[in-house]
Amino acid sequence: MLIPCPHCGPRDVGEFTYGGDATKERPDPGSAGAADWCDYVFQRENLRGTHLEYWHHAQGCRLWLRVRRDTVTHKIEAAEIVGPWAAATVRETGNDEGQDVA
Amino acid sequence: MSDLLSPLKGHSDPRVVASQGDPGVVSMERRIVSLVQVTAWPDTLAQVEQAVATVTHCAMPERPSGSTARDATAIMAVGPGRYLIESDDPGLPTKLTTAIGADLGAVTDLSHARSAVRISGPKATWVLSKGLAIDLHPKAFPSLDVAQSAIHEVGVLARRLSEDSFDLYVFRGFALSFWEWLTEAAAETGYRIDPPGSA
Amino acid sequence: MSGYRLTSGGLIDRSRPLTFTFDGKRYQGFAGDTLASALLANGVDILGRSFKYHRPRGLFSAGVEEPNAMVTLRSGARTEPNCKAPVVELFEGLEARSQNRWPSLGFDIMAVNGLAGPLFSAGFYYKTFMGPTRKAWMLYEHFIRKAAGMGAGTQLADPDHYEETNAFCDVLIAGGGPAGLMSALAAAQSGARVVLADDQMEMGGSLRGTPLTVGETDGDAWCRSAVAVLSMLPNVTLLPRTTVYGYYDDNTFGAVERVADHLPVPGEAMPRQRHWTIRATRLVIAAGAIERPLIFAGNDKPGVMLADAVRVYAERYGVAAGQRVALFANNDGAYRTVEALAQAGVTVVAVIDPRPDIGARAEATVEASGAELLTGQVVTSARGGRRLTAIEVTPFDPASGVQDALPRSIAVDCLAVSGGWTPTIHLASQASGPARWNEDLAAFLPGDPLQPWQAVGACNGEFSTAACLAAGIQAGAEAARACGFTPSPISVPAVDAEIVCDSILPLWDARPAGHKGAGGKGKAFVDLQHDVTASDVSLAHREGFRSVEHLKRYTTLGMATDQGKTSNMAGLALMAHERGLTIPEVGTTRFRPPYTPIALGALAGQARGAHFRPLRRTPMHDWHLTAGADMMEVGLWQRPRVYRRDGESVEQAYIREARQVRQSVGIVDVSTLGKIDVQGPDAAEFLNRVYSNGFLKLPEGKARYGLMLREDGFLWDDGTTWRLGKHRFLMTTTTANAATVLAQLEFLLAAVWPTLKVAVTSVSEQWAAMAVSGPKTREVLAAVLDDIDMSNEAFPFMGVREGHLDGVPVLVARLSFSGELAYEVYCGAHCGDAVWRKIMAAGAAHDIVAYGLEALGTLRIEKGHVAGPELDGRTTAEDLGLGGMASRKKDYIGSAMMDRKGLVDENRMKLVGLISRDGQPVRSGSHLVLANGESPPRSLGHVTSSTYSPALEKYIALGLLEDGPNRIGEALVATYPLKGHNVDVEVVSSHFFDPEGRRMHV
Repeated sequence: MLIPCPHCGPRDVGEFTYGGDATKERPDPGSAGAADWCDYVFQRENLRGTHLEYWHHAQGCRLWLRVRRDTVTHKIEAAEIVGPWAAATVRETGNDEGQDVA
Repeated sequence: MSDLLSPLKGHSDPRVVASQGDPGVVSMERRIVSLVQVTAWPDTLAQVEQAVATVTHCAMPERPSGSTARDATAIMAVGPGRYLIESDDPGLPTKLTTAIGADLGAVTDLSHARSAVRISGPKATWVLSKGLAIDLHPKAFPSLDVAQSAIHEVGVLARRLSEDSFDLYVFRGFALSFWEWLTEAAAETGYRIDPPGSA
Repeated sequence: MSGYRLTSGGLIDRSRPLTFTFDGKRYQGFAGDTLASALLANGVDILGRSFKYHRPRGLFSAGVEEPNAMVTLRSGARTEPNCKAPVVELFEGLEARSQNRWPSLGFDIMAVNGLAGPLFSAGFYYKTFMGPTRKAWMLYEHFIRKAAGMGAGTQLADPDHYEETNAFCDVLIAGGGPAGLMSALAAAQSGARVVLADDQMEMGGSLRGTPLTVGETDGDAWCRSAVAVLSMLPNVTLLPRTTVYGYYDDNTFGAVERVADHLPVPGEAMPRQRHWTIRATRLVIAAGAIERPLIFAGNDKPGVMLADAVRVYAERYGVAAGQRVALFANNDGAYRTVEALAQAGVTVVAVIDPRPDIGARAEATVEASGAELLTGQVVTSARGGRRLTAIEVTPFDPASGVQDALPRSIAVDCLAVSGGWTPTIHLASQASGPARWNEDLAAFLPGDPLQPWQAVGACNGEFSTAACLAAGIQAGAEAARACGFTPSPISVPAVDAEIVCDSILPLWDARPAGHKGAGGKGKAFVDLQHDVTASDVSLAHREGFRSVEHLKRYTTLGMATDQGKTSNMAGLALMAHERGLTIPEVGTTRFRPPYTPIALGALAGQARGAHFRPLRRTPMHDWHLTAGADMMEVGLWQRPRVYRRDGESVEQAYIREARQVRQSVGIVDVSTLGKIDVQGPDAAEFLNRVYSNGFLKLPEGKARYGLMLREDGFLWDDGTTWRLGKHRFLMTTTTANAATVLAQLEFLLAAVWPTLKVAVTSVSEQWAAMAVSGPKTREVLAAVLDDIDMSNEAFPFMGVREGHLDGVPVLVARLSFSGELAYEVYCGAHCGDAVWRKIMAAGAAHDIVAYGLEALGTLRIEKGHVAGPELDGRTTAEDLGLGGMASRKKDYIGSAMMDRKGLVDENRMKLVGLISRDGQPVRSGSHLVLANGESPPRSLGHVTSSTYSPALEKYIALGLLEDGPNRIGEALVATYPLKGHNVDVEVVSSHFFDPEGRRMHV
């Protein structure tokens, strides 16, 4: 599996560490109740299909990425930088980006 | 500075290991004088780039994973808002720390944290391909580009100097393990080790 | 003795004879031979014994599909079993041995298994050794495994070395036959980066050795010139002797190049094999096709061979497979074998074809050869003992399958069989939808692609050379175009008309109708390598194993090392027949990688022995080695365990080291601690949210011990963090969690608090770190520090100072893990060795001792300081007596969940100290039980860390114990049932030594 890192370009999945479900948002400690925390820390869907997940480019630029991946085909539809640099200039990708199938 | 000890001492002495013909690669340990990481905040990027350029007299890389060079200074774009700067000026960490306060960004001295190896020669890309799972074709990885990846589980930053020469930076603690990997991988093509240098 | 060398022809070099041995006997072959062609040329009939029945088996094919001729190559440490003779290139001195026979190939005692036939039918082992007789398996397993098996590997270490490498390209072409070569030419001329991999010694596939005219020349010369053109192009990588074995996500491929297998031993510094990970934008699959056998009684006799293999041995290797050859085929394509044999002057006795009518060209070929043509007939059985001697032929009605006439016997020593062709869809099926059935060819073709590949040539059902060349051009150009290149048109070379397998009469089972399903007279094999017969398939059906997946597992059909390359289709067809369904209705199993077996060494590459994983060394590593340290692995790090002196045991050494620290001074290398540079205007706020205790008010020049929790409220990591400036901190973590803590900090800054202006960077490798401890530490350090006032007033406990040590810039922090007066000295990693030596020199007057991990552990256990064994992911701050550090006044990671019911239960296991009451060491991992309680005893807790304490002169331990603090003074037993080890212990406070902490504050 190749993950298209916005900074480094497409890289083998072995350079990345999986960071789990990227749809979960950390509750506001000021207002959240036990159920909110339980949901954030423990509850996970086991989705068939498109999944939004965190991947850490630990052996590369060390950016955390939000990756949209199909759990059936492993096809990665998008990868974007998480956090303050989300709007940063990203690496141009080559013409091989399209995964069109003949 | 007799107090400095390279992790490759005793291993990177000059020699030729080639069964026949010219060695395919030439390796050399490079002694880093200064290596500094500069991180900007998203709203101070332009100011930090200006400050780095002023201190180093070197232009800034213009794209992700690009690098620039001037004399013995190299500036590498290692992440958004993050640069790694190598120089033969031992005062560089102090100068950058002075120029870039906490309001602008962070300056981290990594002069001792990495070991540097230069590999060149007609078989340099062939040997590197044994460990680096990245496309080393000049179109995909042009000169002066940098790539952060791993070779045999060792984190590596590779900077291409020309079609057949590369500077590699590895974590100091892994330097000897990496060096052993490199010489083993290069045994097939034969290799020459040049005396350690700094540029 | 039937096969023989033809006087001319073939691609072998008759001027370069090669000597080799088979089962110790010397033979001669020529350069260009395979082991199979050379044995065939020498008239060697039996090459192995079969898997279950130990029947004599001869050569069956000319390629990777070979089910019979498995040999063990070489000897000693280079012994390699289960090599397929047709793909072993001959070299001078090659040593091969047959397998699965005892005492010899010619006379095999186990052949009596054949007489006990029904015993070994499908499911025999399940039925015999499950249920009440299960215990019998234990008794017989050894003998059964010995009787039924393949070659034996060696226990010696592999002396060769292997490599792995990576390749990137626009177009990868798997298969270098006419379709693959043409694809490569078409794609390469556009400028696309092309990798062409082919598993044979030379590219060319089916064209190698054929007299067919391609363009201006013969097929073989055409291949050579195509390869020559490709090898000149800088954008082309040619990989001969390379099998693309697996298709993975994102068009990533695994391939193994056999760099030196065709040599007696690899050249100097030459890898034996090289594993390629290839990433290609497009894949062109030109994998060819494999001929199918036909099923009749005795179809495994030595001398029964695939028809195209008989042709290949004649045309490519100049070897006749027999002196009186017959062909049994259900398609026109197989008549090329008759053509080739006639051309070579080999006698073809008869051609048997179940079809009433055959193509005119095929018919003319038979006529020209002088063979008798028996259309509308089938071979019902093959006769002979150690070699085929005769076949029985009978008329056959294709509509009813009835054979009612008496069979006629024809004397032959070789029967070439062809049941049509099976396209090699293995690679395609790893990245496609279900395979498509083609009725004309009675074959599965590749399904719809799920990744960017296209199939051309025989693997796509295009069996003629002309079609392969035309499809190759088209596929190569299309693949290049898909990668953004503009290919220019190439013309298709003209090719002679060939006899082509364009349709077959699907005949799967030629046994007389009455014998089908009843075992037949004489075994009819479907899977030669696993000895699965047609009757086994029927039996599986009768017993209810009807899905192809069940059939495969119950009979083991297709599960041998050849993965059923010649047997799968027949197995499916027989099951379809039994069930009254069509083959596509029954369906096929999916092929998984690898396409052919690959050596584990090739997968391991350089990662073996000392290079299994990289070693991580501290800046003082060489000093430790010189000092005679026993080094131990801590993750990837190498750390000193003890510095043993002459004759000392490990225990004696660490006791001496720990005692010397308490009495005078010692030094330990702590460079492996995780060190993280934390900078930015919000650094203090960030740390305050990460640690459970407060960091906002930590003054500059001070360090603080901090605890990190996980979000779920459990304790995660601990360490000290030093405030070096208003916005600069140096965080330390445990060695084990260094990488994960940094990743978590990066995550929090990216995903949770993106507005905080904080930068975190690993500086673990920037700093050499050493802890100097003991009552004499101040004197030792004062002697070498240039500019730091070491007095207790100027440099209080938890203070941090920057300065110089004999000219070297250092950071000094007054911290104590040992409980003694202690300082940690940090300096640039390249200076670590020098600073260490300077401190050792200064400490010589006080007999300074270097101490290792064991003594470090002893000292911290005596103090009740927690470490990895206590921070086991299941403990809370409260459990470890650190509850006071979990703030109630702020929000931080873990604060919301740490007060869950189960985490604040009073009966939770809590940290206690344990003292051995009987002078025995307490084993870590022991359970704590009541001395006179129930049996078996209930575990009240366990021992986490243990040591001999020189300060107490007793064996002591730390443990986690239910309601521990209220049990102080109780007597328990630390039991380790696996070793039968029981020690009486007393529960005490975990602060064994100097509980007031006076010693570190002096």
